[in-house]
Amino acid sequence: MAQEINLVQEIAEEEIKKGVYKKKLNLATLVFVGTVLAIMLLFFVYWLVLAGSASLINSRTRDAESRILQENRKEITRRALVTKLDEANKLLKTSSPYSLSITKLLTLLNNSKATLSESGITGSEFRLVGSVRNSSGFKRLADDLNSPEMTEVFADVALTSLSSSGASYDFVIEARFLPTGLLTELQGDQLPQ
Amino acid sequence: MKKLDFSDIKPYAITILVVVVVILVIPFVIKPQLERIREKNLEVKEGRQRLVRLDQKIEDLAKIDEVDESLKLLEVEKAVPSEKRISQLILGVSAIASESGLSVNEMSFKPGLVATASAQKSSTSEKSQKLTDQQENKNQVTFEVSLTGALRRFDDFLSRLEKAKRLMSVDSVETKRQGSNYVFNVTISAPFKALESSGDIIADPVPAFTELHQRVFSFLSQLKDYTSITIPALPTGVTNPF
Repeated sequence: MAQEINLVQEIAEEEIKKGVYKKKLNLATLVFVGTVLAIMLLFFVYWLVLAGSASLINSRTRDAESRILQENRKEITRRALVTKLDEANKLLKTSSPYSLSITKLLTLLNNSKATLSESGITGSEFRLVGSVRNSSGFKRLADDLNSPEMTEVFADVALTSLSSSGASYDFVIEARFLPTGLLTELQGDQLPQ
Repeated sequence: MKKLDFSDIKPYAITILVVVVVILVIPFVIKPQLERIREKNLEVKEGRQRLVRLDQKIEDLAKIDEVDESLKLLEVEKAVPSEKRISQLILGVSAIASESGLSVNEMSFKPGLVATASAQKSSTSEKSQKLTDQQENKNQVTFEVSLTGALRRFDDFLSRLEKAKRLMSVDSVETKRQGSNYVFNVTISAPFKALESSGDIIADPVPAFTELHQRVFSFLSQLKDYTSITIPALPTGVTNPF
């Protein structure tokens, strides 16, 4: 008796398996390609939105710029005014009120009956060369230089030279001139705080 | 040895090829797209920020009273002019000296970058040389004045100078006794400032006029004007300008 062998069924099963794999792979490829295309499309749409937004901003910017340019006189005036006031403020803050040094010097000379031969002031360095008739005059000069009124103006007062010629005394005094700023100096009596 | 059988993968060849091509194409298509998006995004962001600044500026400009600020500028121009205005400066300092009872012996100005023949000649003098040696600030005129008179008069001169509308800063003072009088050598600097602009001036915010500016302006407006003198222009390059 001959044995029956069913080969057809096995071949069909393999074929069916292959067909299923192929279908799955095709589907997966389609999904992959579709995803890639969707991402690219999204990017493109996003870029279009950005481009539209940029174009809108550019148009509004042009409009705003033209409005600003129409009022450029106001801006130029404001800029010039502020720049000049800043420059003025800088000078008023940094300049030394040297008139104060001369006022104080006059007081010193009058009180001590001293005679001024030479004086100089550069920056904060103050130098005074003069003579007094007698020792009491010199004492008055020294006392005045150490008075609270003078120490507000002159600091680090140093007698660098003192020599006597007969009854009179020749002296060289060096000091540091303290006040700075014309605005502060003049504010007290001229500007409301 | 088992031989490789490509017949099994043959049905999937096209699919694999498509996947490989798509993967290879990604860096060439998506990467530039991302770069473009990044650039556009930055452009939009910067544009938006600039627009906000411009809108703010329009608001600020609307608040400015043009007439009032123009009048203020005219006043401040007397204190810090846009140009050196040396002739007015000379006349102003002379007027201050005269009002204080001092006589002017000499005024030496530091020659500018382009010196005239006369300025070159005078710059050889010791005094001018000293001035030339000093570092000149490009926004100020530095000059030296020699005066003669009493010490009390000089005190008055300095007080007036410090309260003159054309702002002047005294850099140094030298006093020497000469007979019954004194000779004073004063180095003075007077600032001037022209409007300078650079960068994105349209989008730059309008500078604020602060309380400090108002105080400085109030201070300047009460100072005495010695230099607002109109000097008629004369032809230059002639032998006798008179």
